[in-house]
Amino acid sequence: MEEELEIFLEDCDDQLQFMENALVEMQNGIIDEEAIGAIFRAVHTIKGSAGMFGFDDIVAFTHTGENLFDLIRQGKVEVNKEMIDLFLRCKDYAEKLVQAAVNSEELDEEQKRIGEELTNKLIAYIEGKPQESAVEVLKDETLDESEQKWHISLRFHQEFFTTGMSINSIFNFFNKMGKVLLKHPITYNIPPLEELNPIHPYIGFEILFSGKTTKEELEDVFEFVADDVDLIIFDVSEKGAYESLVVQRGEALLQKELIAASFASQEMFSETFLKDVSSEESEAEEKKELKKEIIAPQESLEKQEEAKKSESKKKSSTTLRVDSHKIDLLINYMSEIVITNSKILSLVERENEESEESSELEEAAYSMKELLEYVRDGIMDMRMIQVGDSFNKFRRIVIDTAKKIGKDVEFVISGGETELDKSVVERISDPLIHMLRNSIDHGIELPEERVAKGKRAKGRVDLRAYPDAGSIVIEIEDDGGGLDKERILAKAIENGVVKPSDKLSDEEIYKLIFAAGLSTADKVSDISGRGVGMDVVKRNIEDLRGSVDITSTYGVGSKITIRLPLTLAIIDGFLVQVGLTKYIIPLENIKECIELTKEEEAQMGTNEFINLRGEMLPLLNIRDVLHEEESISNRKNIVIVYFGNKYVGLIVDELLGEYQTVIKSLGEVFVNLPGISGGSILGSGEIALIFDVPRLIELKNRVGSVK
Amino acid sequence: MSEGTLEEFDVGEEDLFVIGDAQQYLFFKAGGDIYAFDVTHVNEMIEYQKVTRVPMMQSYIKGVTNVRGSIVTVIDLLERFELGSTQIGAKTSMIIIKNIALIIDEVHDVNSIVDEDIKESLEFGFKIEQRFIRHMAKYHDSYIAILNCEEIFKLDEIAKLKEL
Repeated sequence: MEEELEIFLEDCDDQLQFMENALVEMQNGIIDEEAIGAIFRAVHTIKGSAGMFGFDDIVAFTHTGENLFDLIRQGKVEVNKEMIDLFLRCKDYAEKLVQAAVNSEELDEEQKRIGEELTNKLIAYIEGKPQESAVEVLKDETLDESEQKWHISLRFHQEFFTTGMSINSIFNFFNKMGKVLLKHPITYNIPPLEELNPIHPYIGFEILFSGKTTKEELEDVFEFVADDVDLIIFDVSEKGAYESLVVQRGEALLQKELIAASFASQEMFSETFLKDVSSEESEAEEKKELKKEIIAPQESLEKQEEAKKSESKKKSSTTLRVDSHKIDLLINYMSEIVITNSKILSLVERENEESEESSELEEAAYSMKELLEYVRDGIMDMRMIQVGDSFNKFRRIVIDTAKKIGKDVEFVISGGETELDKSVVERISDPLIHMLRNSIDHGIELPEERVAKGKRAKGRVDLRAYPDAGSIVIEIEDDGGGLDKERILAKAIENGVVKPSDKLSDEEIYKLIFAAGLSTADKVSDISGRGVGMDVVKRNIEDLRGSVDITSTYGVGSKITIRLPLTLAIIDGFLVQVGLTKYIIPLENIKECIELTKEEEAQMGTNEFINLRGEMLPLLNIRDVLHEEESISNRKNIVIVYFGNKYVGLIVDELLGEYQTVIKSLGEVFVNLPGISGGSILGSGEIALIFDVPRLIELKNRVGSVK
Repeated sequence: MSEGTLEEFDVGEEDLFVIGDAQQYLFFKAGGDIYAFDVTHVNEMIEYQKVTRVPMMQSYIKGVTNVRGSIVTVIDLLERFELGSTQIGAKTSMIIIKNIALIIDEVHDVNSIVDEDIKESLEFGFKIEQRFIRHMAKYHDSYIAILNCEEIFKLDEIAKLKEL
C-alpha cells in the first residue's frame, strides 16, 4: 500500500474510533455537545481526507452524515435511540467504504444496498426536521439552501508544496461544491527567472465561486493546509468588499487585475482609494485596520476564531506520528549499545581492580552508562501508549454482545491512563475481547435470573488496569454466576484433562478453564463456548511474558487477573551464578538478597524453607531443580523473589551484581522450557539465561507436588 | 559475496555451487565417520566455542552459544544419532545451519558429487537411523550419508523437554 493511503487508513480508523466512542457514550445516555461535536468533526475529517484522494463514495456518504450532524449540532434535530443505532451502522458501513477504497475494491451488491438504505434513512432525518426551524435556517446566516456568490482570494506560502497537497485538488473541491465562475491567476509575484526557486508557489488565484455553500464550508476545503495558505473569502454582494480585499492584500497591482479580469469594476473602488494604496504605506496600514473593522466586524470575529483554530492546530502538531518500525530499529541499536557499554564497563572495572581511586575513564564510563539509561528510557517511553484507547474499543463489543443474548450489562473501565508497550497493547487486545465475551456470555446471568437471585438486574463487568511491582495488571471482574467448580471438574474428567483420582485445589480447578478443549457452556453460542479460546488466550498472554490467574466465588462472580511486563525488549536484572551457568533474575521480581548461613542450612535439615524474621520462606534450590553441576564456591546465597503475593527464596551460588540486559529469544527449540524467558549476551560474550520468575515458582510447585 | 570474488572467478553466483550436473557438499567427520551436508544449507562453520548449558532439555541439546551477537542452539550431532557424545578437541567445529550449531569432530572439505554417484538411501544397514539420511553418495570409493537437515532439526522432537 502506498504510504499516503496507509496514513489515510490510519487516520480514518482513528476518526471512526472517536466516533464510535462518542456514540457508545450517547447510548449510555450522555448526549452532550461534546459528543456530538466529536462525531461531527470525525465525519468531517474523513470527508476531507477522502476528498483529497478522490474517493467520491466516501465523500458522498459522509457528506450526508455531516449534514445531519450539523443540524443536530445546531439543535434542529434531536438525537434519539434509533438514530444512535443508525449512526453505529453508518460507522460500520463507512469503515467498509474506507477499506474498499484503500484496497481499490468495489463493494458487493449487498453492501451497496445497505449503503443506500443508510443514506435514505439519514436523509429522512434531515428532511424530517421540524418546519419552523427551517425558517430559522433561512434567517440564520448559514443560508444553506440558496446559491451564493463568493469571492475567494488565494495566496500560497512558500512551503505549500511540501504539504503534499496539490493546487489541482483544491479546484476539484470547488468544482464539486459548486461552480467556479471566474478564475484568474495572479502572476505578478513571480520573481525573475534567476531568483526563482522552482519549488515555491509564487502564483495566486482570484476566484469567483457560486454554490450552495457557507463560508465555513469553503474554508474547510483548506483545513489541511490552513497554515500554508493565505485565504480571504467574502460575499461579493458585500459593499466595498473588493476594496477591502485590495487593502488586505496590499498588492499594488491587484486592483487592476481584478478589474481586467472583470471581477470588479472601477466604480467599486472609491476615488481616493487608488492613491491611498499606492502612496502612503502607513496610512494604508491604518486604513486597513480601520476598514477591516468597519466593513467586516463579523469577519474580524471569524479571524479571531480562526486564530483560535490555528492555535489548537499548533497544539496538535506537537505530537508526531512515527512509524513503529523506526522505533523498533532504534531499540535494536539501543540493545547493542547497552551490551557494548556493559562490556566497556567490565573492562574498565578489570583495569582498575588494583587501584583504590576510580580513574577518569571509569567515571566517564559510568556517566555514559547513566546517560544511556536516559536515552533507553526515552526510547522505551516512545513505545508506551495508554491502554485507555484500546479499552474503549471494547465498549461496543461488550454492549453488542450483551444485547445479542438479552443481557443487561454495565461496563466500567478504570485505569485507562496506565501505560504499556504498544506491541503488548496490540497483542493483548484479542485475548481481552475473548475474556470479556466469556464474562458476559457465561458469567453474567439473564436479568430475570439475577433478580431471582436477589441481584441487581443489570450486571456489571469491570475492566481495570494498574501498575504493580514492575508489571502491569489487567483485571476483568464480573458480578455474574461465578465458576462452577463441580462442573469444571466433571468436564475436565470427561475430556481426559485430569484423572478422577487427581486431588486438585480450588485454584487448580479454576485454572482448568485455560486447558485446551474445555468449555463448560452447555450450549455453544456464536459468541463463545466452543472450548477453543481460553487455552489460546493463556498462550497469548504467556507469549508476552505475562501470566493469567482466575479467582471466583460461586454465585457472586469471577475475577481474571492478567500480569504483563511493561516492555518486552530490555530488563534490569541481577546476575547470579549457579554451577557453571550464569542466570539473570529480573530486578522487578527481587525483594532482597541474603546469605544462607551454615547454621540456617543445618537448621533447615531436609526441609525446604527457612525462618526469615518470623515468616516461613519456601526455598527453591536452583542447582537441584535445574540439575546444575556442583560449583567451586561453597557459599550459598538466597535471592528472595516475589510475584504477585508469592515469595520464594532462590538458592544460588554467587551474586554477581546488577546487570542491565537485553532479552533475546533462545530460539524456537526452547519454546517449551519453563522458568526461563530468554537469554542475554554478557559483556564477555558469554550467554546468561533469564529467569521467568512466575513460571519458576510454578515449577517449584510442580516439582514439589511430585515429591 | 563481494564483487571482487565474482570477478575473480568470472562465474555467476549460482554457478559457484552447481557446476554442470554436480552439487557441492560439505564433508565432515563425526565419530570417525564421514557425512555430508548440501552446502547450500550451511550458513557457516566456526571453531568450537563455549556453550551455555540450558537445563531440562534432551541430552543432545547442549545449550546455546553466541555467534556474533545472535543466540544459536547447540546440538551434538553424534548424540542426536545416539552414537555417544563428541569429544571436544582442537579440531572440534560447529556447522551452523539455520539457527542451530552442530558439534562435529572435524571439517573435511567442500567438494562436488556428480549426479550418477548419488543413490537412494538403504532401508536399513547403516548405523544411523534411515530418516536422517537424504541420499547415499560415493565419495573416495566408499559410500557416505548425505544428511537430512529437516529430520535432524525436527522441531517437535528436539523441543521436547526431558522428564523432570
